[in-house]
Amino acid sequence: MPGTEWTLLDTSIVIVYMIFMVGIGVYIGQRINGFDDFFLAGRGLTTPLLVGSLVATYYGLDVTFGSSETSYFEGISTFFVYSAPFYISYILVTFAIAPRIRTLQAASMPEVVGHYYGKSAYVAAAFASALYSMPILSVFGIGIIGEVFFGVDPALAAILGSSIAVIYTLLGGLLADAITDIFQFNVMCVTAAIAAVFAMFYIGSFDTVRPALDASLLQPTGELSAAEIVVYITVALTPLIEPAFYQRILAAKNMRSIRNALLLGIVLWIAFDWVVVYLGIIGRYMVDTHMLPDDIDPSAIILHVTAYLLPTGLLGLFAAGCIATATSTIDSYALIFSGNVVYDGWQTITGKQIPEKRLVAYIRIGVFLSVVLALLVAFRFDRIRDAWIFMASILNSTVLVPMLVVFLFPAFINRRAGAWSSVTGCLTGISFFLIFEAFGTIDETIETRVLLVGETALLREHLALVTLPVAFAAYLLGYLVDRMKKS
Amino acid sequence: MMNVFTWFCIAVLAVGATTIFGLYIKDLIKFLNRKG
Repeated sequence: MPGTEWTLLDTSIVIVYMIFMVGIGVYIGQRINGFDDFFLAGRGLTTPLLVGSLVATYYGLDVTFGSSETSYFEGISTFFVYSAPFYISYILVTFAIAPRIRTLQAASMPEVVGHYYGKSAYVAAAFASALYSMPILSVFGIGIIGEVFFGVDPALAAILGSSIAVIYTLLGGLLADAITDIFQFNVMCVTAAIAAVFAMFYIGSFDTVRPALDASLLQPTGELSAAEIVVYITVALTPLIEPAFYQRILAAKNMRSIRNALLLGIVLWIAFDWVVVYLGIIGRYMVDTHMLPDDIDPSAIILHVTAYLLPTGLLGLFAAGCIATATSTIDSYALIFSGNVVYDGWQTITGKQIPEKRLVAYIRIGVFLSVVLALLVAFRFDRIRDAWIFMASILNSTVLVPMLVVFLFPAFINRRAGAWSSVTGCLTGISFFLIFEAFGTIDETIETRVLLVGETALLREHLALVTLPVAFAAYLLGYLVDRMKKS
Repeated sequence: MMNVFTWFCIAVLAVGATTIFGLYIKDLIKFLNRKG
């Protein structure tokens, strides 16, 4: 890469950071006394821990790499079209969802679903949540960081980086996760801010880059079809059923802590999104003006920009920041995956409650297995985005309709309807994804899989246009059948 | 306008992260004392 050379100081910073994270796990591990301690940090997380944990967990490398890559191609509309709708969902989570689920003595999102809709919906939600929580993207992202900064094999880098996250999560559970998250959150925010300051001084503000860029890159609104708008709205609703949000809401010390944490998180997410979008645009400017080669991988544009701009030492800190972004996501989702399989899935299916000590042991094994699975899957997919679309679509198809009813139309909560909706949504999601895999073709220009239905080209991202109406119809049918049987 | 917003976001990240870290250290001491 052009610009700054990677030095021993940078490597030392990364190594010290990793040792520190493991140290936290060892220390916290000695203080774990049961399931609530391990899985919900004793339900005692305070506002600062919650802010750090929410921001660092929910914003992984998919946001850092994904948003900068998207803004490289589409400019500031990335912020207004893709990021902004999420903020409305965060506000809904803060004021409509958190107060409601705090009243339940649940431990996870599927358990909340199970509380309202019974066993079948609980198991379907646990399956969808586990699938969604497999930390595939972050594992893959660590591989890219290792390759770009250290020149090592991506698979090896992914194994090493993930192992750090597994060790401290295995030892200290959610508390170790939350404490490491706050350091990771700091490194992540501060290094992004530093990179943006260097870009503003050494490359330029929007006024400087404007003449060299295509005017459309600085237009706030993109050109979206009605179908795309529906898809983005659906995707932006994901926070309403986000397993990591639920876990933290339930682990909060009190309602005030989680409300303040979510409100502070929203401000930080907005700032982080904009800075990443700005760095992506700077990357585009640097490529267009030949400061960076035009054959670089746009998905790693933020790494190339920072490697060019930051001096030694700060570059190491930025690499640590990227690793932090990935590990903070891996640890949290590995824990959620394991909780979904053992606590939600296994206990509900067998109908037997696992003794507390054994439950913690099983969840620890599950954390390890989730990362092994993610490693196996991450390097098997040609396109990592395929895996993410599949995981997020299944979660939405299974849980979104029943949970929207809970939050928006509580008078219509009905066990039969919820069970029908979640099971049908889940199966429809899986079926349609498999149909796309079997009969769809990859369109290289729009980088997605396309299925021709008559003369209509259906993109894989449009999966929700089919599965959500099906899940809604199943809910309605279940509701009507139930009412008829009761009358 | 966009430049002002960029500087604002940089400040939010830097000040926000530092402040929350400070609050966390204060909380952590209390939390670990209570647990241990």
